[in-house]
Amino acid sequence: MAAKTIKLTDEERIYSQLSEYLEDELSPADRAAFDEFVKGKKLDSLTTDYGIARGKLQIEAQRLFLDEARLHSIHQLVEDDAARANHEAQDIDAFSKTEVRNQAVRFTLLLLVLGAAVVFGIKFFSAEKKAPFKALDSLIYEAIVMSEDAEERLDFPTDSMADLNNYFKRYPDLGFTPKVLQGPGQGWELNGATVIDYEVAKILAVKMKATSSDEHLYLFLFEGALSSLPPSTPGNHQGLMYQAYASDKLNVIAWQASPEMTGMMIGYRGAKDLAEIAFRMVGL
Amino acid sequence: MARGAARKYDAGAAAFFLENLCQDVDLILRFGFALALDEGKAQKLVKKTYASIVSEIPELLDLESTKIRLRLLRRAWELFHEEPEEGVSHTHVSDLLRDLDLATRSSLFLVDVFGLTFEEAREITKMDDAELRHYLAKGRKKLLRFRFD
Repeated sequence: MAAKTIKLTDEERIYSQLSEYLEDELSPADRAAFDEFVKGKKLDSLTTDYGIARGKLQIEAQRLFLDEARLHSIHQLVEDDAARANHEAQDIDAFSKTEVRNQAVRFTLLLLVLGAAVVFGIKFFSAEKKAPFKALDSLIYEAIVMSEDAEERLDFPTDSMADLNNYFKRYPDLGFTPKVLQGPGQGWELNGATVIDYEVAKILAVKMKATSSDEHLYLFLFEGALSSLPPSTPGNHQGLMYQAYASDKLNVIAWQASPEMTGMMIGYRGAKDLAEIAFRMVGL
Repeated sequence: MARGAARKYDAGAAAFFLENLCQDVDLILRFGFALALDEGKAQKLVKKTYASIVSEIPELLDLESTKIRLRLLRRAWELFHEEPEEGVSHTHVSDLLRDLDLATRSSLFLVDVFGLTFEEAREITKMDDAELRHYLAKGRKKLLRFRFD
């Protein structure tokens, strides 16, 4: 702005001298020139009007003022030693309160995490163990393979139920306690047993043969819940609640043999016959 | 501003800040409004102005209040021109100022509202005498036509 060179008009000079005229700060020559201009332009009330308008502008401007909060924030730009000491004390106090609050929050969070871990643990360990493999498909396959090549598949050929139970009882790391099995009943004889190791689960497998024919039956017991199998036609044999399935050749019943163990009987007989044999061998 | 950012001074300098410098906060706010045409922006300018001047308190201690006021006004003027940003508001003052250019608004406020001398107003705006009178005349003409009612 300072670079501009402005030549004032007479009118601009007079208007710019209004305040000086009112405060009587003009030189006698300038005052005379002012009066002459006003008289010539018939602006007799110019100075009075200006004085009034200026007063109104000043009043309007005074409506603008800084509120207490903003004024306080300006005051806070500077502090003396005493104020600083007070503030530091307040800061320390606030920090202490914050720290106590944070400790409480941390402690609460820790309790929540521990609680969640306990709940998770209870749920995890108390949950019904589900068969970690596709039991139905896998064991039908095993039954078919065993019927075709029994010698290769049976690790423990025996016709003694006592030996069979002893074999299962001594088998290491089964992951569950096998039930003591009874004989399959009249018309059937025990062929032997094996433990199928699927890495994720071990399955007790027992093979029976009909005494009067080449018909075979297969009993499987493994850790897990019946509910892990697909729902199917339910059946009940003297309290043994089972689900019946059928493949192209074989029939299958499955039941909850114990709280931790699922039983599966596979053969060519109907579901009721299979359930009867299962009831006889495994019981409730 | 956070307390940690507060400028530390002895009790005398801190009292000087509160009792002398801070007496002009409303004046700086009004000047800021004349510059920015917006109260919020004017408030920010006040804060910036004072924040920038607190480091100079030791050298302000011996100055007359008039000189301190001029220093504050000049600082506000400089800071506004670093980031010139105008707003909109609806008051009598803003209605009067809205159509006026920045130099005219500033001149009118410095001389007719704050009562500064021409020399003082020139010290703030760095205008020469003719320039200041030109803008002041322009502002006064508008002022005389303006109806506050």
